[in-house]
Amino acid sequence: MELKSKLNWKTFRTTQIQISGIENAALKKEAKVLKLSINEIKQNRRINNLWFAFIILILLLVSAGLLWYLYHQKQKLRVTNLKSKISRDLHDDIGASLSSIHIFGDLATSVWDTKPQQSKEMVNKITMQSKDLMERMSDIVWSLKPPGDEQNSLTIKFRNFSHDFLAARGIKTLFDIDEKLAAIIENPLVRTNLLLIAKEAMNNIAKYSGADQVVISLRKEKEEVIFSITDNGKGFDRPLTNNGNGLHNIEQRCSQLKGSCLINTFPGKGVTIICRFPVAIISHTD
Amino acid sequence: MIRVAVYDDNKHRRESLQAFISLSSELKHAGSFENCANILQDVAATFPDIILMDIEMPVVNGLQGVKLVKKQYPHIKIIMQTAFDDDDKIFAALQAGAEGYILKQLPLFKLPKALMKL
Repeated sequence: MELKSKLNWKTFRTTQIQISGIENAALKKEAKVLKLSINEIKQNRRINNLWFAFIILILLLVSAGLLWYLYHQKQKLRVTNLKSKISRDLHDDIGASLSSIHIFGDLATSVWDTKPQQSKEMVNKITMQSKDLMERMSDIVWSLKPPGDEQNSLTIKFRNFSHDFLAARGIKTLFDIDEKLAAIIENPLVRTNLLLIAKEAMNNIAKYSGADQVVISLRKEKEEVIFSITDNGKGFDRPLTNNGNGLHNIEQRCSQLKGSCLINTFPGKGVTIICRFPVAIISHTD
Repeated sequence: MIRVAVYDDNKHRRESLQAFISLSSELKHAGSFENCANILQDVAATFPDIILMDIEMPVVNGLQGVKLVKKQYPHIKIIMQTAFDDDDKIFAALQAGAEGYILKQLPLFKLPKALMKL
């Protein structure tokens, strides 16, 4: 009886150990399965993350492409508008002068025999107007050239003018030009207006100022370009001066640059013309 | 004699039109002006019968000039001068009361007779 009981206990223990072994094995397998599932979930998440990153990248690329396309379309439109404005201005301005030469030519021919003195005056007008026209054409062509090339630079052009207008009258010109700034002024309308402002101012100085020194300055302050021309001449009383000497034209040209013009002068104190306009306009072609 | 005033911002064009008008037996030059900034005073001082009016001028342009003159002096005839025959501004000027337009690039020899018929 006791032996039987011992045998049963042994069998029971053996069975228990076997069951425990099977349970352990099952648990291990379960843990392995769980681990595998976790790994699978992790891998899936990684793949999802990769997809997400890929989609974001594609969206970014598409957006960048779209922005680039829109920017270039806008630039194209600006260039087209600029070309259209230049050709219209050329046709209007140069065309008007050519029509004038034509009219004088017709008139001179019609009164050649009856009014020889008047026809001679008209031929002189044709000569002067065509000379003026050639200078204007040359300025227009210069304004369309790339600003970075030295021979097309604003400084060279200003130097040429100062040589013609001022040096010939013994007036010394000092240049304080920010060359880096001048080299990026590519908008032909800005180049033309700066040139004509300088021309107008130098012409006034040569004719009326009695100065012996002029300073021409071009610099940038914050978001503005400041172009100034200062002389040490006799100055004038602005309210007493009519606009016939080109000051009005200078103010007009500054407003064409979306800027402002300040003319500081007092009798005996010289004249300073300060034109300010936004930096944004120098490369914009609108 | 018909008194003609000229409005044009191009100095050369003003000079040649003045010469043309002065040499014409039917026309008399009333005055030449570079824009319409003082057009009412100009007209009051020069009594033109006809104005040859440019369209594009700084400060006060030809279109504004037509409106100002026609409001106060409806009897004065205004002929627009333009380099472009497709310019919308011509039609705007005609709507504002201008009598007609001439192209700048065309010869002027028929102009006096045309002005006489206005």
